[in-house]
Amino acid sequence: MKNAVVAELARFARRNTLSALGGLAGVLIVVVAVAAPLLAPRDPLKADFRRMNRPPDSQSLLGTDQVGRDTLSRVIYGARTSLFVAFSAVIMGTTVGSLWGVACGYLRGRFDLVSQRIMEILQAFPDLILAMAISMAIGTGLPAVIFAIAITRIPFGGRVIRSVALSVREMPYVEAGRASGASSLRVMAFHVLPQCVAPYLVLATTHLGVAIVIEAALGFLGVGVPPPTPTWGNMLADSITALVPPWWLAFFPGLAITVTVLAFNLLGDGIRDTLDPRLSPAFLRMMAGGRRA
Amino acid sequence: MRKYLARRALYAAITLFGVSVSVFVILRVLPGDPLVAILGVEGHAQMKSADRVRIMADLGLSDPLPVQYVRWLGDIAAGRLGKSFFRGDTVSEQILHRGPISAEIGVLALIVSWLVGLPVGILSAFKPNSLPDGAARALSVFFIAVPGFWLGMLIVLASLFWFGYKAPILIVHVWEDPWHNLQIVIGPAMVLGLAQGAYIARMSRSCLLEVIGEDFVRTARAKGLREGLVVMRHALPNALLPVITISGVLLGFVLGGSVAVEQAFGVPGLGRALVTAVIERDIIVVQNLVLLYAVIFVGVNVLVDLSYAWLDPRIRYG
Amino acid sequence: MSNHTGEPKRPTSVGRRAFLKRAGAVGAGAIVASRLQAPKSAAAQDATVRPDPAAKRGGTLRYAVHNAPAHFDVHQSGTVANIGPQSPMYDTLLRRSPKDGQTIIPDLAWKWEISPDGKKYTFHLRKGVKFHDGADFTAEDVKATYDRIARPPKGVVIPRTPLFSTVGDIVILDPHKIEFRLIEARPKAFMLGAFASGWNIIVRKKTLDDNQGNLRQVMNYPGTGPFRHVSRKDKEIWIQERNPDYWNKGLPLVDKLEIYHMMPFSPELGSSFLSGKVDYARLLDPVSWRKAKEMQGVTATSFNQSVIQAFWTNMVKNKALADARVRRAIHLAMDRHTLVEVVKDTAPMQVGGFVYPFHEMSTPRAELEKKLGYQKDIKPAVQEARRLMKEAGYGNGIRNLDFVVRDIATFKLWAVAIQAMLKEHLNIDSNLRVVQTSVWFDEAQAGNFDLAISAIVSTLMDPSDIFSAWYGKDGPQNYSRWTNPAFHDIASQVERELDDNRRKALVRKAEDILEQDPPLIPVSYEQIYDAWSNKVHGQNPSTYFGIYDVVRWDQVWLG
Repeated sequence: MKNAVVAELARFARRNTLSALGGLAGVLIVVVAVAAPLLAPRDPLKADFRRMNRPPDSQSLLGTDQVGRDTLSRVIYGARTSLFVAFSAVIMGTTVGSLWGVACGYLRGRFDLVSQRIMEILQAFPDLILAMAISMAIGTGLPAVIFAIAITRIPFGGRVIRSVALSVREMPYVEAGRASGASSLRVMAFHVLPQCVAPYLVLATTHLGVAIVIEAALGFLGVGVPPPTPTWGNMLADSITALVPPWWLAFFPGLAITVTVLAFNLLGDGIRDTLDPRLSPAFLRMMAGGRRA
Repeated sequence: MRKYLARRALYAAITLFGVSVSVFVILRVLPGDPLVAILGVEGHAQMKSADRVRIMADLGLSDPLPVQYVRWLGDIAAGRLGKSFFRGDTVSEQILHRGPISAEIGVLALIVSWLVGLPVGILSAFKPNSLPDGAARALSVFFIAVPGFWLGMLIVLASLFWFGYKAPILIVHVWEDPWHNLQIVIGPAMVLGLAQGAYIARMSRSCLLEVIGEDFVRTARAKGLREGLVVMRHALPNALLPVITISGVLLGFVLGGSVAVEQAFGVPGLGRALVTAVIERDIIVVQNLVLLYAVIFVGVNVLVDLSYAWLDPRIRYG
Repeated sequence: MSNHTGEPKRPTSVGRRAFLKRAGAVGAGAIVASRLQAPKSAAAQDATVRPDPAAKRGGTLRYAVHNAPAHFDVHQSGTVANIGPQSPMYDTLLRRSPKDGQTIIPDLAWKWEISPDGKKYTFHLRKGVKFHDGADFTAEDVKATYDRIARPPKGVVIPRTPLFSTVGDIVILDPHKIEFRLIEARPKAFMLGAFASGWNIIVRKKTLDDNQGNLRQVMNYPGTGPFRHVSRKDKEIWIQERNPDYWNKGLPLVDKLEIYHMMPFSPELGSSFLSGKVDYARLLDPVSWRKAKEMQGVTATSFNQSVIQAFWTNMVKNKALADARVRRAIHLAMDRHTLVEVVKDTAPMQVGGFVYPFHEMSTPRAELEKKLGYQKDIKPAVQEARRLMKEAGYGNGIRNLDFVVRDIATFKLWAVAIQAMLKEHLNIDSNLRVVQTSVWFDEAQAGNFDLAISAIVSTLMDPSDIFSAWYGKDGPQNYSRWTNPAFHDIASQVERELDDNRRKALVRKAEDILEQDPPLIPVSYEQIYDAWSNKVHGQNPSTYFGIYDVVRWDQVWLG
């Protein structure tokens, strides 16, 4: 079993080198985020008034901010918060959306019709604006931000998985399952759902990057995770307090965002290419939320 | 075609209705007393409860929610888009003043994305896996990953630091002073446009690659037609369709992303007005601006669908 | 000291502290001078502002100041977001002379008399003055304005009310003569300073009547001032034009004011001034200011600001904070010199205690810095603070304090630093909540906080004003809801005491009480950094106190 998995991974890496590199980088970043307390040289919240506004040097590899907090530690802990928010939001949103999509695709009828309209409504709002409005309504704080971003991901899962469910539904073995008297729930769970795993994975990985950027944008605008929790977006907003801000404060958090999003995007590309090589532009369109699902 | 139009319009109407209900509900769920914003907390603290009931009734804030909702829609239909709690500026004034700037940025970004994305995608498709193709793909991937507002921040800082340049601070519309206006909108438009363009490049490249392999193109080549002609007449239209579709989706990214990018460049557009209203919890302003953004998004997507339908012979003549 | 327009420009190499000391000394000296010179009686000629004979007329002054206020009611405000843009449209009874920002001169009242017992102030009002809407200015308007300020109606809170707490009846003797009858006399300089405050703009009686006494949502109510409203774009610009019917013939000198909205100390403000997009920049950050000093054709200066930067401790909501020992511990745990350092590139600040450090009555700085809480080396203070916390029963610290932060760069930086200091020295955990200025004042007034950081104004530098404005029982700016009978007793003595030496002794006693039982935790005091293009003449704020009195721009010209 283990050898088979390793062999699969190796084949994947050979065929999609770039994507594999992205995946590796992504894994590394996740490891850094998880191991933050071990890796961060200093407490990200601790101010050191003797070392304020220092450029990168031997003691602070990425410099310090206006109250002497170590930028490297803050970037590392920022990874923790940003990734936690992004992963939670994507998993929550995509899962809810996918389950909803399965139900829609399988059950059809009025449930489907109404659900489709609801999803259209959700998709009628530009991502960031919907997230802002929701977080304004339910308050600031980590859970609120996760919830707000999750809601923006639901319709994507709904659409894609719905169409998968629609096509799977017609398959002979599913018909057989229905004919043999199994309840809708059973059929959905045991026959339709397994087919959706691959598209679900593709969805989740491709939306991870988006979620990270939305979270950072919310932080940058001042409506995201509240201080003093370091997030990359917060750090960028805080850096512009002086006429010419210290370049290291404006540069490294943004670089972190870029590298992370890049890694997960590349990984997502590779997974998509592998799991569904027959993916046509039509399918891509659908994933991006086109109308003709 | 007409049936399609009718159906599409109906769906759009339903969606808009749903959008308005959602916006209304989400923002009325808000805890806190709206009177605080109007009277100021000192005033609010000194108010007797009888006064409070009277004032709430005057403002229509104590009516049942459905009644408030209908009144809100009526106000919007009549063009009364409400006033900010704080400074009494009307939302319509804000929209008329700042809207054109944000709209310009959106349109310019779209143009930039097509002008950059399409040629890059097409050229890539014609020489797949070559060096230029690799570079184009790398750049696309880069621009998709980079957060627009960070890029904007860096551009502003760099231009200030190295060139001492700072964009105009007041809104100047394009019909007033085109040069100043351009200086205001060019930064955000470029940043947003390049990101959009990256998506378009990738999309058109893959679509084109698919089409180029297809039979009818091979036939055209076999017939001896020149490559360029083959592209123009046969391949391009097929590449354009998904680009048009995706432009609708990308508009969503632009509308959303423009909020953060406007902030980064310091452009006093509608996006910044929205952010400030959210931070100040200025409910009426947030409500109406969010509705506006959603309406625009839905509207543009309807247009996209219509143009897609018009281009797709199956629907046009079906 | 600082650069008057006549002097050759040269970057000063004087150390910052010496510079500030000199600025403070001049300010304090001027205060003393003005107190001694309190204009006496009817013998005073009409010494109001006259145009500079060398002045050129016309042009547009582009001036940048914070102007997205939470509302438009100047009386109810305490922020430059109101007075900055709105002041040019209104006049006051008396005013501070733009020449030095200290001398009190006639404005709408061309002559005044003070009865020998100090209880009657009679003002002779100018005839023929018109409001911008054409209505005549009469004593009715003055009475309506001051009735409002002294005894605000329900729902209206005015920070200047305590200044007029002894005003009894305001009597109209004839349409252009009005008399304020005090129940109890006050030092003349104090009362005249109150009447000359830039905040006490004269509005029409009709305006107040028409709006139920609340002007928060009224953007353009008529004034008698040198400029009148043309247009306003929220958060961008307020445009005002010359009032051709202004009573002070020959003024104003410029034709138009373009007041740009820019946040204090922001990079936006600095870069706009340095790139020539505004002619006059106020509340500049130190980096831009230093650059401006070195620029050709530009003058830069600094002066004392009439605010205290502090944070409040909610004694009503939080049992721990109600204990004076806890508050003193927090007070001692603050490393004030570091707090000034933290914002040194953002805003110019100086260490101070509970009263303006540059006022003649206050403990001199050298002596202040020997006290616990103001020393460079904070170890003794922290030790004492820990001891107090233990004694009060909070040796293990306090959890979960809601720390509301006003959304300006200085407060955000300080909040982080203060949070760190509280945690490190006293094991006090707090959660930062950054809110917009308008929301901050709401939360503070409503008591929705444990700790809250901002700045508050006083009208005068005099302790009498700040003892009531900042520390008065139930005072409008006493957000901690603090009270201390011994202090209030001394405060009322300070108000009445006319002998300077006795007064100083009383002020010291009051300071000591405040140190032991802090009503707020002082962070610092502010200098204002202004810079202007040399084509702007007539405004040299180097001896001003605060940015709220001389902001009318009537005597400014461009050339």
